[in-house]
Amino acid sequence: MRRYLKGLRISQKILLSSLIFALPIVVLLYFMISGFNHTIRFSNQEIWGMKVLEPLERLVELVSEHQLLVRLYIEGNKSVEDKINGNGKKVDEAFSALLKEGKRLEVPLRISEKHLKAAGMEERFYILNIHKNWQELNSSWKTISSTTQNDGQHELIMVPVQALIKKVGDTSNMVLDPDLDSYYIIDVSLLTMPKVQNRLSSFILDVESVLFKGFRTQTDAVRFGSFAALLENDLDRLRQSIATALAEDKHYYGESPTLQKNMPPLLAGYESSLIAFIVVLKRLSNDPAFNIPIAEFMETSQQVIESGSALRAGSMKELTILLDRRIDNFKKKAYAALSLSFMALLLAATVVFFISRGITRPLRKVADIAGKIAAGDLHQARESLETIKNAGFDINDLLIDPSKQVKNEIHQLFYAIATMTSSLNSLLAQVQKSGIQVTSSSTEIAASARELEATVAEQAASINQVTVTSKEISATAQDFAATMNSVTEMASKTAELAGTSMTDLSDINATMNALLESTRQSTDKLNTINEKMGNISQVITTITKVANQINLLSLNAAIEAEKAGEYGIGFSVVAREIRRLADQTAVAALEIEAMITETQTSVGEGMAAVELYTRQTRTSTESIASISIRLERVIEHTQGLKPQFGAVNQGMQMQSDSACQISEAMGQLNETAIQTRDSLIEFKKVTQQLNEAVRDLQNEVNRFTVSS
Amino acid sequence: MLFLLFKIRNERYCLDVSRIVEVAPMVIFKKIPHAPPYLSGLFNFRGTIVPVIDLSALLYEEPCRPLLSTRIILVDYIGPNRKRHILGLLAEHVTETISRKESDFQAPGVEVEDSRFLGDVIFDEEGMIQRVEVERIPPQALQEYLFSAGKDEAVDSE
Repeated sequence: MRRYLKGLRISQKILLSSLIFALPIVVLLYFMISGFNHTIRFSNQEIWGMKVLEPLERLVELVSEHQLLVRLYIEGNKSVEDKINGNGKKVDEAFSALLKEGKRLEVPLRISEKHLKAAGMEERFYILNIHKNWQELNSSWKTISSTTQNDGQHELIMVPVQALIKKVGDTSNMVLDPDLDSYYIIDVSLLTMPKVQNRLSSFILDVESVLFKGFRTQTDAVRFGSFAALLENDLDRLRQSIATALAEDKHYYGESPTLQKNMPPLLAGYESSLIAFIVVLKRLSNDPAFNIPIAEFMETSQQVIESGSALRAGSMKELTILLDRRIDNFKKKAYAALSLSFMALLLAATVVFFISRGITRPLRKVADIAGKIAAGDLHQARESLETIKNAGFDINDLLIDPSKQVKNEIHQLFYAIATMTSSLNSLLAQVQKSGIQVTSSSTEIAASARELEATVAEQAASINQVTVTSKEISATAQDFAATMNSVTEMASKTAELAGTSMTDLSDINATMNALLESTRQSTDKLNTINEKMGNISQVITTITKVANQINLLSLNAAIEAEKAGEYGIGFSVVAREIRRLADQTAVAALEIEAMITETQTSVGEGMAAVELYTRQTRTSTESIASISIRLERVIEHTQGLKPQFGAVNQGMQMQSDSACQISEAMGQLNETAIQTRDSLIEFKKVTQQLNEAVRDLQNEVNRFTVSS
Repeated sequence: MLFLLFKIRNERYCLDVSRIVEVAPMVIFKKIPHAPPYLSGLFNFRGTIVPVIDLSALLYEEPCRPLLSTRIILVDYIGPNRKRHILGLLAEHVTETISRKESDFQAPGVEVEDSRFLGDVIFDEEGMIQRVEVERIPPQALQEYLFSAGKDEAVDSE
């Protein structure tokens, strides 16, 4: 049950609680309506009772009258036969009405044979049996001979009819009637009037028998006086009852116009006839001399009975009207109560609907926004919050001053969501920023680590090189030491050989010196040739200059001759010839000059070659001399070298050892470097993990769209 | 008519001998500071100070080579103010003359502003020879102050 309640939506919960509240209302309404219905049924029961009672009452009157008339007939008044027959017809009519109504209402009024039996009443009380008795009486009344038989025969009808009246009066709740006006009318129509009519009938029978006797005794007079008193008493009661009914009428569902109008004249009519009858009785009682013919008496008594019957019938009719009015009234009340209750329920339902909507709609909106936040779309969530503005609720105002607009829980919720969104927004922005920073830092770290690693690797390589080199040095030193040994040996041999070389070198030196001398001589000769050639060249230059001068002169001469015009023609021819000669001379001179220049060049080259040769020869000679000197020194040194090689050898060995040590140290250094590199690789891995973690964080954060 | 032949950078040119005073051998010139490169310097010709223009430098911005045939051609120059002066022109291979009629010359059909002293053209078996107009030789910039400081010598009535 609790789980089911928890599973319900808020609107359903509200609906449920409203229904629970509506339940007692419906129950109360049910009881109220059933109360109304009960009253209506109660009144209906009364009406039904009336329907049955009416013929029964009439039967009482008619049968009494019948009894009286039959008695008159027995006593010899044969003229009443028609009347008896007319009366019998009326009784038949009353019976048919009774049978009809009795058949229809025998169940609710509990007057069926079964009901009567259950109530301990004999068969003779059943309507059909009563009717049978009447039919028997009606067909055989002429055969009745004595008044006693007559009374007995009529008793058979009157007793069960009166018993039925009592029974129906009980079962139709007449005596329990709740309203004063109807109660008093019932009192008049069903209790007092039948009793009075009944009493009147017996009085009339008694008086008639006395009058028929022809004289009256003292006891008769006293009895008539008591009859009058009783009737007066009854009249008083009737007056009081009707007066009360009329007075109380307005307090029960308003005044009934027919009641107020019809009752007083009926009462007055009955009063006047009854009073006349009472007066007759009193006179019969008080005045022994007074005598009244039977016919006249019968006339008076007939009037009383008729007016009484009219009063009874009228009051019954009024009672029916009153009951109808009551039923109408309660029906109206029931309708009013029902419709008012339904309207109230409808109103309540509408209010509940709007209240639940007022709760669920903002909640749905909040849920929507929360969903957006959950989906990571903070930007949209914020926009959705902005739209709430339209509902007379400015989220920005709220954020500025929370106390201003927080009116109810929904606003609080919106405020909380808005605060949460903005906090989340800034938080995420910060996280994103921090993530980026961390990423860049870790990237930098990784880069640095990589660089460091590279450096270490380089260092390791360098160390390896050093190691290798130092090993090489060591090896070389050892080789060198070995070589030195053989050198030592060879040096002593060389020293011997050098001795023989020195004598050969002296011979070469001498030959070289001779060669140098002959070369110097050829150089001198070439110099002489060169000098001579220079002289020839000078001559040629002079010739050329002269030819040039001649050319110039001839040119100027030609110019002057041209200026002299005709006079200068011959001169100009001469000048041209001179110029041609000069030109030829110049050409020849230039050719000679060219040859001389060539020769001079050759000589110059020769001299240069000789000079180069001389220089080389001199250098060779000098070299040989210096070689010979150095050779001597070498021999000396070689001879003194031998002991020194040992020391060198030792030094070499030491060098080799140190190289080995260096190599070892380098090996250790290398190991350290490798360790460093390994730890660096570890470090790099950790950095990478950090980077990945940050990237994951960023991915998570990136799911959220942050408004800027 | 007789024309003096000379070369500038192996190109042959000629000059009307009637305008030539004399052909003189190459000498060392008195240099003029801040003078343009084509103005070789001053030269004493029989007592007259003569400015010498290097035609090679004028045409190709490269002075004449120092050959025996490189000579100074002294010409009669009539300045813009109708004054007569002697002007020296330095050229190479000044060794030959050629005789031609005035009608043998043909117009080159083109005239360039900076070498407008080069005039009509004649032929011989070795190729083209272009005539040099003396009056147009000094460039505009030089003409303004050439001979402006010296003592003027009036142009003869001839």
